[in-house]
Amino acid sequence: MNQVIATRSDITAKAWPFYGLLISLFVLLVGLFFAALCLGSVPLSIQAVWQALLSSTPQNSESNILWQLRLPRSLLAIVVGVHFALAGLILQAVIRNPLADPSILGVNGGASLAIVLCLLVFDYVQLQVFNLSDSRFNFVWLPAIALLGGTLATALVLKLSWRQQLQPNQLALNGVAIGAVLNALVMWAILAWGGNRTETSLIWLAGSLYGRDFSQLLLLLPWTFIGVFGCFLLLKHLSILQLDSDAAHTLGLNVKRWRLTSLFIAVALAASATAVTGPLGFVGLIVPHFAKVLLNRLGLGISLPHLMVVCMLAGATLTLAADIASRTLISPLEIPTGTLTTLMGIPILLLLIRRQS
Amino acid sequence: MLNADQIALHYQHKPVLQDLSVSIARHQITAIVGPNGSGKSTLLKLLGGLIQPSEGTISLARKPLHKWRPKELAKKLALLGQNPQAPGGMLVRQLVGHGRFPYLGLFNTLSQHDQHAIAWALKKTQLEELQHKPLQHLSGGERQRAWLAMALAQQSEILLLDEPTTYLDLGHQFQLLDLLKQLQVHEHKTIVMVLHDINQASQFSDRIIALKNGSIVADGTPQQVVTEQIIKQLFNIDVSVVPQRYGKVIKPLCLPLETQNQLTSNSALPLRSAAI
Repeated sequence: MNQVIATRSDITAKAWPFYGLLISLFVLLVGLFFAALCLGSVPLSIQAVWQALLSSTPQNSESNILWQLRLPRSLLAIVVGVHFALAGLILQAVIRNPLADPSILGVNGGASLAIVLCLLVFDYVQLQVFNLSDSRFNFVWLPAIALLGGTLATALVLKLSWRQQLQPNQLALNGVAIGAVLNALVMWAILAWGGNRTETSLIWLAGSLYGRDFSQLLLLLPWTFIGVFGCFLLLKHLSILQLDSDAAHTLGLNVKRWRLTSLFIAVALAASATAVTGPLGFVGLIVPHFAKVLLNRLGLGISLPHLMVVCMLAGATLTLAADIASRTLISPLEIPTGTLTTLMGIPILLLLIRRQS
Repeated sequence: MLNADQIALHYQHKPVLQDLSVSIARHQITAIVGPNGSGKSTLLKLLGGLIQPSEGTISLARKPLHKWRPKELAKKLALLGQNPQAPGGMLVRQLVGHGRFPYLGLFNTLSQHDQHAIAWALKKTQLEELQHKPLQHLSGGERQRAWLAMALAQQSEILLLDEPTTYLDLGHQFQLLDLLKQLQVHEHKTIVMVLHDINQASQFSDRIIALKNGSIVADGTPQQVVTEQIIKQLFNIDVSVVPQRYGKVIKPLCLPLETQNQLTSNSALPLRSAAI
């Protein structure tokens, strides 16, 4: 009996730092969210923001800025952060390497190429066949097209690694190679046939949240729900996949099947987010890394359920912070958000590589 | 209960194991011994269903391994590989908790019963005090025990272990083997392990299977297998086998003899001239 009580108190003692971490991350996220609404080329006071949020019908320019620009953009930053962070976390568990990132499996490259080709072909057909110069492309299809491209690229990477039983290092090497080829093809397509889309395509490729409204957010949300729900269902299997494949096999896990399922969910999360904001480089690498460091510091150990919750909050916080920085640092100009996250990601990538070798 | 019937395994057209039949008896400790590259680990992996034989079948309770549902098989049979890997930040208790995976459905989490099984495995391996430590802070021996605890938490009747003593010092080697013996006696586990040390195999097992070049050279009690002829045949060394008392039982102990080369005093000369 005594022993039972001892373990109980032990568990609660362990749980507090975790909830503390969650609460502080949440407070940080909410604070940043209001900062994101206030800051910008037209600064708004917190009272003005509050009033504009409460009034449902937009009357003045302030509520216009808020409802048309800052609110959708900030919410989108949060959702996209969750997407990339979870995708990175899943990939790292499956590939069993902290270097894994959606870009590693060629997801970003595949999604980008599919989107760019689709837009260019659509424009071309519209211009040549229907003789229309303004594009009427329906953007609802973008996440699906990105998923198709991302899945095909990943499938190619998997096919190349299949004979080695999907060995993690083989997978990563093939992914990097395919990703490089795909990115080169994207650049070629844009520069050769971009036409009047060259500039917007390049901005999109750098990963940006500029000019996003609620339609894009609504476009993405179904994917978010499916992805997050899938993640929570996968937790136990992912946790086992972190062990070597022999150990996972002897625990009764169908390793190949669950590797594929997990990879597919990661691809869906990353590709759908890429479709809306372009590739926000390295978010999937930075966030799980920081989440692990935080949990380790608190002596909590790295359990996937904990990691997943922390990653969702931290991912949202990071992309939101990056978005604020991207539009305030050299205001009124904008730095693409993806460029900022990439700048943050590179040192961490180098650190991880050094630690591995 | 676990039977391999005339199995063969080819790897890239080269035979690794050929025409091999073994039947693992209930509640016994069976040791697999043999020189490097004799196919010991491969045989263990085949018995654990990790790889499929090219010919023949392996069956548990008369049902071929590949026809078992993976989770059902994992409830009957646990295998601990030679160099298992987990993320370094994983806590001991988390790792051991993974042993309960075969018992969990898609939606449920660890039940009271699962927690008891985990606590029991931690107690048996004396890891209670280390359970909240991350694996990366453990010594090699402690880590080995943590993995064994995971296999124990599976609560399978059969335990397959691939060189469980490799990374341990002598004291921990004997602690581990002693624990396995206790598990056999008190928990009625059936244990099959690959061992390097022929004397440990002799001391702790009821039966020894000796492999060389992918075939069985000898299969029987330690008294039948640990003989001067068979050791010579396996490892190409001359030994003297003497009876040794361990508690109530007497088991053969083999002592390597000096080889012909070492006896001839001039044997070092060619080496020295080569060095000059």
